[in-house]
Amino acid sequence: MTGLEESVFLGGLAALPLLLALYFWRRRSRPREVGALFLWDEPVNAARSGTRFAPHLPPASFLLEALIVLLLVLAAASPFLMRKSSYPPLALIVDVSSSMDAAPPGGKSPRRAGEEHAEKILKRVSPRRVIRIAAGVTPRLIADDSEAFPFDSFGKSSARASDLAGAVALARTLAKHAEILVVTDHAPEFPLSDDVSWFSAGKKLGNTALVNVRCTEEELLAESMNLSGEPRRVRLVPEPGTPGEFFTLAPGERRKSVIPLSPAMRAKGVSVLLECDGDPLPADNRAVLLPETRPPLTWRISSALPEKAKRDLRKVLSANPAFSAAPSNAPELVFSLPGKRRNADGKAHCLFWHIPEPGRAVVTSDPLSVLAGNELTRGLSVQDLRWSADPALILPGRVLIRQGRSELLSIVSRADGKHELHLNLDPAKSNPARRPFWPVFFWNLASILRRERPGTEYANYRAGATVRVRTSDPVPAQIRVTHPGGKTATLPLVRRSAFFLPEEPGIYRIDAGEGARCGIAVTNLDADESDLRNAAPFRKSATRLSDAPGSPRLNLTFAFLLAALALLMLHQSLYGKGKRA
Amino acid sequence: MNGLLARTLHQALARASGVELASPRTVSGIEGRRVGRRSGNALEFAEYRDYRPGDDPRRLDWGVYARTGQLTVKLYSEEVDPRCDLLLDHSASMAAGSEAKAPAAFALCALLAQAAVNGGFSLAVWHAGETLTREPVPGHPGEWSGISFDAARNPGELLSESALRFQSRGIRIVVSDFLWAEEPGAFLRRIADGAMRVALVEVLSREDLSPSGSGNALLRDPESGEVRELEVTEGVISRYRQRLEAHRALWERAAAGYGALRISMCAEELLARWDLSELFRCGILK
Repeated sequence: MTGLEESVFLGGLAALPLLLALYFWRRRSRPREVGALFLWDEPVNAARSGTRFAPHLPPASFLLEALIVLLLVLAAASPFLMRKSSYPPLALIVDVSSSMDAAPPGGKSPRRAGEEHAEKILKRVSPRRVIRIAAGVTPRLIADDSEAFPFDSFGKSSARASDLAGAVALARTLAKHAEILVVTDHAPEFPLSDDVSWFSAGKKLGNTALVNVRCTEEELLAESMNLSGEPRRVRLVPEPGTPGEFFTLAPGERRKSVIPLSPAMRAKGVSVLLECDGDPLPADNRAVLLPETRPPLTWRISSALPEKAKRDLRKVLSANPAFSAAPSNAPELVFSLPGKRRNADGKAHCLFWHIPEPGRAVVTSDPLSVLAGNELTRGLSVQDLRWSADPALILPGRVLIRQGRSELLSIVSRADGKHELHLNLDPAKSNPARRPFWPVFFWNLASILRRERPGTEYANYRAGATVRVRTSDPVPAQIRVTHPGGKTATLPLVRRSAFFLPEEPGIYRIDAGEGARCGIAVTNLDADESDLRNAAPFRKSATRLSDAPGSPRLNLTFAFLLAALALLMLHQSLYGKGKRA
Repeated sequence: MNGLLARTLHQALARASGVELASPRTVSGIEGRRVGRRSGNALEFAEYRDYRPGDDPRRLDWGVYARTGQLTVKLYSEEVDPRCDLLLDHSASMAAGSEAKAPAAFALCALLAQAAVNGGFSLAVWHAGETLTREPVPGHPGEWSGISFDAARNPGELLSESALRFQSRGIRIVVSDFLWAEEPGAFLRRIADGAMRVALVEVLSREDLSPSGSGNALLRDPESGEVRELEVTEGVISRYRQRLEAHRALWERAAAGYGALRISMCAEELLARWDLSELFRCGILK
């Protein structure tokens, strides 16, 4: 039977003591003076022997009336009977953010308390369809079945945030009429509907944490923060075995530490640790990173280009560390005239420089327009540019820069994942190579092309961020990812790329084909998540369940009303006017 | 004296106008049970009757015996001093349960006192409160002192403990509700001892006669302070009525045994109509 979670019932239940109090008040003994007490009935004397305390039983009429009131309250709750198999599914949403493991010394974590509570709920009605959703940065469906399951299936509490509102929305998408139970460590931040239960066993605790780490090829940036109300003495250890750096963090202080990477750290990666006594959440005191090593882009300039063009290119490439210092025989980027590319350069990105024929190049007074939103044109300044180009030339692909009707720069993305850029520019009569436009454009170009090498774009990611893995050529049959815990997953390919969302912090090994084996480090640090002062206990039970279509409910309201009526008649027949008590 | 008492007293005294207490005219040597101590100051022949054991042999008419051989007693009508003792119950039960009972008893007592004065009686008024006290101005009910009904003791207790001396050979009238649990014989014995006539005027309220109400009640005896919690139902009230009737019957029998008159009056009806026909019928008033 259920329906007793209805607000009407709870209200009625709350009113029951009031009703009983009113009843007692109405039935209270009124003092009355009589002339001859000896003429009235003697009370029934308790036996002189036997139990010392004789229980005081209220009169049977009272018990009968109290029972009638209780039955009426139960009837008002619209109770109903439902077969277990007809119960609406239970969507169990477990917050898997790292703060769920926070516990004072010897105490129980919110995750553990939530698991115990959920087990009780599940035992109450079983078997039942249970939808399990792990609420991390992105809500994830774990399973949808009616079998008993271990809570380990939700995975570790390691996400850097939890999207509980998204998880509730996902649950509603999966089962419209589900009863939803959210297990977390804080009070709800959005209004709860009647069919949502909320269980939080979080406690306000002081914490010290690493809230941000970054790693370049040379240095490590680590930000430590004291998220408590008292000063904390901590030790930052960037490399195991080293003494590290001691310092004291004032309450609320956030301190940045920049540490040069040693050769060993560059080779193996960085494991930074923030030590503090009595820390309730060890997970946010450790982070593993990999150096962001990104080799410079190799290039080659076609000899067919005019000298002025070659000179402008060499000048800008040599000034940009993202490009190799010297031309390469296996270039990743080739600068050439259109149609003059060597076969060996077929697997490289190309910049085709269209040199206008003499007399065809013109400089117009039309304004230059740059296509916004493209990474290649980001930060490009076209002020004071004198762009001499062939106005009749039609560039292939997507035009990024144009002047009037003249197309000046376009990009073509080839099927093999390479790019072709087409530049319509007379180097002799133009000045972009002498303006900020030129180095910024090549900086953007290097940045894009280096990221589009096989493998991942970066070496370090935050948990919950989308990781794109580009395949090498030839495209492998599958991309395999080995998680920090040793679990291996195969990723589906979408146009030479695969995507996945790492939630667990640690080192992921990725095999994306020959020449595309790499690793990424994932961290789950987040100042908001580490701030355990926001944790709070909160409990709410669903007060109403949706009427699932097809779930037969036997309404018991009439049964309770009939029972109350029968008792009322019995009461009248026993204690009505003119009857003896 | 509160307003209600004063008002009822005024009504009672108005009703007493032209009413006298009746003088008892009886014969000496009544019924052989008790012998009168004194013969009175005026003797008038009344009748003869056969001698019965216990009769004063001095009253035998030897002449009749000589003529007939029958022992015959000569009876005289005995003219006694017109004396009256009025005893008013001031116990707290007189004020319990009804506002009319105490004023009615007080007013009735005042009416009888005024009737006694009207009849030329030597009047003594006794207040049975915490102690038995004699009223210094019995002939002026409006000036009676200490009129309150809150005593914790009933007249039965007081009479058994005190060495009270009523006027001899007089009329003794007790105005009370007679609602005490002790056996009435001892009380009547003290009252009737040396009395020419005893009248018990029972004043009960309607609430005493037929209690109303229902539900839980915390009954309290104002004299003893004893409390009793009961759920008042029809059945409980019915049993109360039965016990009250048994109690009154006990007093009726005891009063008959001592030759006492017993008159019962309802306080509310008395105050409403001042109907004294019962007192006239019994010969208390004339």
